Amino acid sequence: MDRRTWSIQALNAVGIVGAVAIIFGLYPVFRRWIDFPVELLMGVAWALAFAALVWRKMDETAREAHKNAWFWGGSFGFLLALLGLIAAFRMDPRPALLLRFSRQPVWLMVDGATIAGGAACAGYAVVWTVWWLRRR
Amino acid sequence: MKNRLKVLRAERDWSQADLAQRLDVSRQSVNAIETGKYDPSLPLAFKIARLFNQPIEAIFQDGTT
Repeated sequence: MDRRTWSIQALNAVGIVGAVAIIFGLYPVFRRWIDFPVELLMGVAWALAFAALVWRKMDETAREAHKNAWFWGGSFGFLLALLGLIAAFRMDPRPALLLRFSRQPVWLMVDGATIAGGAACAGYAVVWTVWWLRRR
Repeated sequence: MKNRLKVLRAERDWSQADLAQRLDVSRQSVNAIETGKYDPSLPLAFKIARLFNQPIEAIFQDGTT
């Protein structure tokens, strides 16, 4: 195994340990000495390092698949989600009723961002899959 | 873009995995290039040409000539 693969595996391990810690209740313990923005920054730093290592390890065909998937799938997924949200709000101007878990404006924004981001990721996954299926 | 990658590979009795390892790419990439479904970048085309010890234009044809 080369150095880059080892680094990716190490970051994987850190991510898995973090996820297990959160799932199995170590989170409240950590929470006593780590404030939320620090956790967020740690998560972002981990994601950036992981993405950078994976990107450098993959070959040009795999990179091309990701670029195509983000441009076409991500853009159109995001656009479709925005159009869907606008259409939904036009049908019912009470967004808190449309998005059942929303109570405050800030959570409406979170819902909107989640829906748009989720749709972009879904579009990305579709285009990525189709890209590889067409080049089998 | 057409290419002679499959022929050159067969002459050396290499599998797609063998060629992929020599080029430091995935087997899926070799397959995509071989079947003309993906055009390699210039650096990868040069790498392929060096590996087979042939000029690029002897391996890849753009179909218009």
